[in-house]
Amino acid sequence: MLKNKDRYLSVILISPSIIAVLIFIYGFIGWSARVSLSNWKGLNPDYSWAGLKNYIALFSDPRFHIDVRNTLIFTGVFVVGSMVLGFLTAVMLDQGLKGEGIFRSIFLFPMAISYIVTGVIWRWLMNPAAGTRMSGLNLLFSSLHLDFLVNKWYTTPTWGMAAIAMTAIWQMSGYTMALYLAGLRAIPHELREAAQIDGASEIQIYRHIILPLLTPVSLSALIILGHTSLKVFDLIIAVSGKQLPLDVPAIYMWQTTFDGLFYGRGAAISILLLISVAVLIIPYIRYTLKEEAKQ
Amino acid sequence: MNKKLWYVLMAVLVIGSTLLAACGAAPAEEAPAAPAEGEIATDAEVTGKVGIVLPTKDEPRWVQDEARFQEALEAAGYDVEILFSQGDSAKERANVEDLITKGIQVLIITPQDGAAAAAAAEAAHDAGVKVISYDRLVLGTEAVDYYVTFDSVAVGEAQAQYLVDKAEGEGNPLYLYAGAASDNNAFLFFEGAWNVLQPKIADGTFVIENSSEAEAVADKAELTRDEMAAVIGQITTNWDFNTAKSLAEANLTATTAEQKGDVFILAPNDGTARAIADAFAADGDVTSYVVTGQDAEKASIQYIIDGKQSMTVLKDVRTLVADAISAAVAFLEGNTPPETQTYNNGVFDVPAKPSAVVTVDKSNVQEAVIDSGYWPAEDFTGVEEAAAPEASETTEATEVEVFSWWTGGGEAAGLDAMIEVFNKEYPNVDFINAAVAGGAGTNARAVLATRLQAGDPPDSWQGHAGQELIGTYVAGGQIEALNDLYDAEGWLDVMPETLIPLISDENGNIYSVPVNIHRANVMWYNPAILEANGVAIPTTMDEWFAAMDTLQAAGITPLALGEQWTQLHLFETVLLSSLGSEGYDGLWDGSTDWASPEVTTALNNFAKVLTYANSDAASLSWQDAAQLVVNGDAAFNVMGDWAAGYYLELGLTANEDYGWTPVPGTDGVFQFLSDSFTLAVGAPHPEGAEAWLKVAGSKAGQEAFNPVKGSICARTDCDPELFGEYLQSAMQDWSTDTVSGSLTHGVVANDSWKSEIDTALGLFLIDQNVEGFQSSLVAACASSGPCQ
Amino acid sequence: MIKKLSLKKNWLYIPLIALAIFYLLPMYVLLVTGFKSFAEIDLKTMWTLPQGIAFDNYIEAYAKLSPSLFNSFKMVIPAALISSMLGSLNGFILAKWKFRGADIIFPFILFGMFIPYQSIIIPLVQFMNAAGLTGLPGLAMAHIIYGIPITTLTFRNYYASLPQELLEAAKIDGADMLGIYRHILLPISIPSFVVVLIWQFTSAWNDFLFAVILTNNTEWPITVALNNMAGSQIISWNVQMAGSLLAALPTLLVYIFLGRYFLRGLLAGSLKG
Repeated sequence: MLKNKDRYLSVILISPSIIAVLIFIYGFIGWSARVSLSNWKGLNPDYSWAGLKNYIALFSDPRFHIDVRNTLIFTGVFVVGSMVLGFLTAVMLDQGLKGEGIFRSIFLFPMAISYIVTGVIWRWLMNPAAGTRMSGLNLLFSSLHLDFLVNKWYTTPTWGMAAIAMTAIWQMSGYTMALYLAGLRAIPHELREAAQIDGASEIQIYRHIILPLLTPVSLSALIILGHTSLKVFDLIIAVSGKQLPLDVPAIYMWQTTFDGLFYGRGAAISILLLISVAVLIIPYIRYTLKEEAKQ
Repeated sequence: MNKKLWYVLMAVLVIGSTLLAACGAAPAEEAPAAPAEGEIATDAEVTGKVGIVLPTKDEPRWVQDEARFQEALEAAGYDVEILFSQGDSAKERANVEDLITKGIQVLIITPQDGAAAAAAAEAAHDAGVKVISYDRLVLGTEAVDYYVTFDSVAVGEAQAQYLVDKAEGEGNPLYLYAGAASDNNAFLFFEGAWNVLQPKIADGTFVIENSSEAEAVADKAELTRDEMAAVIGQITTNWDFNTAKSLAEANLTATTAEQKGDVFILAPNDGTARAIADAFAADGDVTSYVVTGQDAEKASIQYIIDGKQSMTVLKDVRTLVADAISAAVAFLEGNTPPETQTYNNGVFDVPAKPSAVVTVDKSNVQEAVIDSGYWPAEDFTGVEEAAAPEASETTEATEVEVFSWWTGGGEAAGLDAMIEVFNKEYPNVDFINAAVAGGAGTNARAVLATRLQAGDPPDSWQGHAGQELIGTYVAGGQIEALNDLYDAEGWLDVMPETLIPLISDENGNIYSVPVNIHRANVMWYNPAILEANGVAIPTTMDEWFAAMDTLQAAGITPLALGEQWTQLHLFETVLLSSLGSEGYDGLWDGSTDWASPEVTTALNNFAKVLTYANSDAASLSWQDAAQLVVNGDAAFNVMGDWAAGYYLELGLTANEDYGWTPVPGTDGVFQFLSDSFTLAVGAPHPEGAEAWLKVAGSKAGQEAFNPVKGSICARTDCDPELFGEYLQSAMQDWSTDTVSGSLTHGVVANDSWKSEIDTALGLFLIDQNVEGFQSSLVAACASSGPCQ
Repeated sequence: MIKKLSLKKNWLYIPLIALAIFYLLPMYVLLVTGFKSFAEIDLKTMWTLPQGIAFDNYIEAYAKLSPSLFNSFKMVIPAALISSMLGSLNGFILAKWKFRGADIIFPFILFGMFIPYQSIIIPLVQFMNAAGLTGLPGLAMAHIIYGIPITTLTFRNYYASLPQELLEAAKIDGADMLGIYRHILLPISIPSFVVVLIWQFTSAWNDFLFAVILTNNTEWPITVALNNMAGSQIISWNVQMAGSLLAALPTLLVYIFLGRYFLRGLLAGSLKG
């Protein structure tokens, strides 16, 4: 039982954080929500009531359709790619090979670098120019006689987004690797040994024993990667600049708010983004809390 | 932590340590520091008698002094006897001897006549009495122990220092005036002023306008008596109101308007200062003047409160009395009063510590003159309002924050060149360069929009002349009209007439200071490629298509194109070419229908132009695209004339490595854009911002900026010799061509409309649907443009 | 150590090395470009080695970036430390010292992790200006507050995995809440602190959005200065790349030297579901 003194103390200690979150997160979300229901356009605030006008307009806005498609492509490629790559590298590194530490550092380091730095390099690497102006990865592939790999990268129609996702995989798969590696190390090796004695193949062991045990890890990875991909913004700007084929909601929001001064529309986009994040996050939070309660 | 709090803390620390230092130093020089009457609190046990001889009872000053001495010395526990000479040296002598016989230990004497008083002083000295020469020096004897006086040299220095502090930049006109050439004090005042002014004349801060004698010795830090006499002879007022006035009027007649403007005047005392100030105020070519004075006369204090005289030097007689008493007390106690300076009385150097003088101007007149009790407040009008506004003016003009998106390349170098001009003109104003980079300025725009939303505007920011300015910032009430500045600086005479309406609202308020002009409708080409393929420079849309067909057939990429905004740029030039300048201009005021077949033709032309472009446009910056042309990878590139600056930076030769022509079909039309600077509503440092705008609109500022940035001046009077070949041709075209505005660069459409058009273009680039493009353009005009 | 199921795993080096090359390619370009002279910069020759090793570019970049480098340190270090401390306290209270409503407050805080920051910068700047929190202190505060969700999550999950008996024993000994936190939980929280500190350090260091809107030019942290270094005309890519590497160096070093602890921290359950 909590003593009264401690109960008050705990409330006092946590309240600064709660107040900060209340203002800086919910207060500001509330502001956005209010703006999204207004006619505000131009430099001067205009809170006149517009109802759901901004939202309705977005649903028939061809640019927003492109954004949604791009986000789906990006999220799909990025989340699946990072998780698969992260898991595979983790499994390989878990084999106790020499030099594990070096590989681990190599896989982890992209996380340390800002998109502002890596964006430019990827822009160079994924240069789509052909013929005599060929450069970057295409030039590398071509000189290695891997011409089938030469492609137009992020300028590919429709699927250009996948190329951007690849750079994001580069950046974040190290983190998934670390999560999985930690998860793998936490699995008691008796479990594997027992299965081995039962005659299970290594692949069977991973599939039936290890993967299920890693479910919580996969879930956290999914959440972190998923919300990152919904919010992706500066990476795309750094690699490709602002152009509609690679547009995502966050960029549309930024441009329409600050370049076009459509504050109401921009706020509506951010609220829609937030709702989609919530759709992803809330079941996860409920699940984890329930799991904990069971224990 | 709050930044303001930091400053307060710093201030407290500084003041605290100063106080500590002062306390630590105090014991060494305690005696003459006592400031005002009635505060001489010395050891009452020490007894002694002080005799005082003053010149005459007929002047109120000496009667006041009598009372002050009497009161202060008696309060300190001494006997005092005060006698008056009544303008008679013999009486003076008799007074002194009378006092000696009464057993005084210290004599304070203000000689009626310095030389004649020597005998009296000697008599006192011989009797073992310490002689303090008060306000006037006893000459020609060693029998003077101490001299209490105001430092005339310091007075001149204080006057000159005030002028120096108020002067900004170079070439400030300076008018010098002096007292009577027969008065030694006039020489001392002038000597002090010269000490401070001469270095500032030598470095160009000031230009002497009314004294050829002073100009002749302007490089000499120390003047001989004869040189000074020559100068003073030319600028003497004889301490006379009327002489001063007629001399000033004569000077103003003899000088040209260029030698006036914001002038600085050294006037020796208050009476002459008022006369001179009146003369200058009456001259139409004098926009402002700073004038010194001396004595804190009532009339001048009122002048200062009214802003008609800038300053005076207050020599508070009470300080002098207090210092004399302190010296007397020191002698009575067997000590020596402090000595910081000596004055030669013809025989030897008399020790002295000159009493402090106080510089009084509008900002401290209340405190220094009225609160101190020097003059009563009821003698003046408008005292209360005097201090506040002036004080803020002097403290806040110390910086200016200017926001732009010029962080690199020729733009940043050009801005730096202009900042250099600014720093020279306004060395006291700290320039804060708040440039933020971002693709075509977009990060910068977001930062700016956010700061404006939050009510934290920079003092001045960059905005494209035209609708970006009028339809966005003016519509949002974020910037101030600048008509006064235009009038004061005469800009309406030097800025192009076509430009002014674009930076004005319908009421004729002008809102920004344009610094440059760029041309948008320029097509760059590779002369070698055109020649090798027998292609003539196209002048119409059809010729252009034909030329590009030929090139394409020869396996050459006809047109180099970059990322999306460069495609918008191409789009606006094709619109201009297809619709003509009148039709194009009509798009933006609603007189050309976006749904019209002419626009459809223009859009089809644009779609066709795109088919000649490189396939990797989306991955190229405008520089990359421009470079394709000079590298021989493409034949044409449509880009604003900043490309010329880029080619110049690459070290390429005009008309050899690259050529230029108006975009086909736009010959004779100058599609322009212009960067301009604004004054924020609620700018934290309006004076600094105004200073910056003055530089941005000045010939010197624009001539420094534009050749480096690669644009032509917004002013029409820049020297063409400063510019390269391309820019000279652009200057020529600007003066003769029809002028239309750019869309991509903020001239013709407000930000919202432009952003809607940009989105429509982006969608068109994906789906290539001309019909859909046109209907989105119609919708954009309806939602954010003039079409309803 | 876990015994390995198979010993003949050397073939694994092939995919590992291939992956390592994939991860290092951009690094390679960054490095070689940083050592090239301006004349050598050309997209077509980006893979070739520089003609000589010269540090001029680094010296030039350092000269341009050093003031911002210190601004970054001044802002990032307090931001990382304070948000970690807050996260640890919150996590402790939410996991082990539950009061009524604690289970609602946790998801309430957690959700903040997911907001798109671009959408709240206007009220953020308005609030900071109104509160007088401009410049680096304001920026640090923004990082602290927006770091609270993830730091709280990390610590809460870690503390939740600890057996309740640990606390009960101490309570019986008469320790109060703060005593338990200080003497029992804090010492065993080091791995979680490492994870959170690294995370916060990196995200605050690499942040551009808050930095560019909350600070002015004398207080710009490194990311803004780096962004401004790229001119709008001719970009000296060699200096730019050298600057990029300098800007990334502190976080890279943090990862290289603390990477093993990072993993250990994750292993300690701090980021498990």
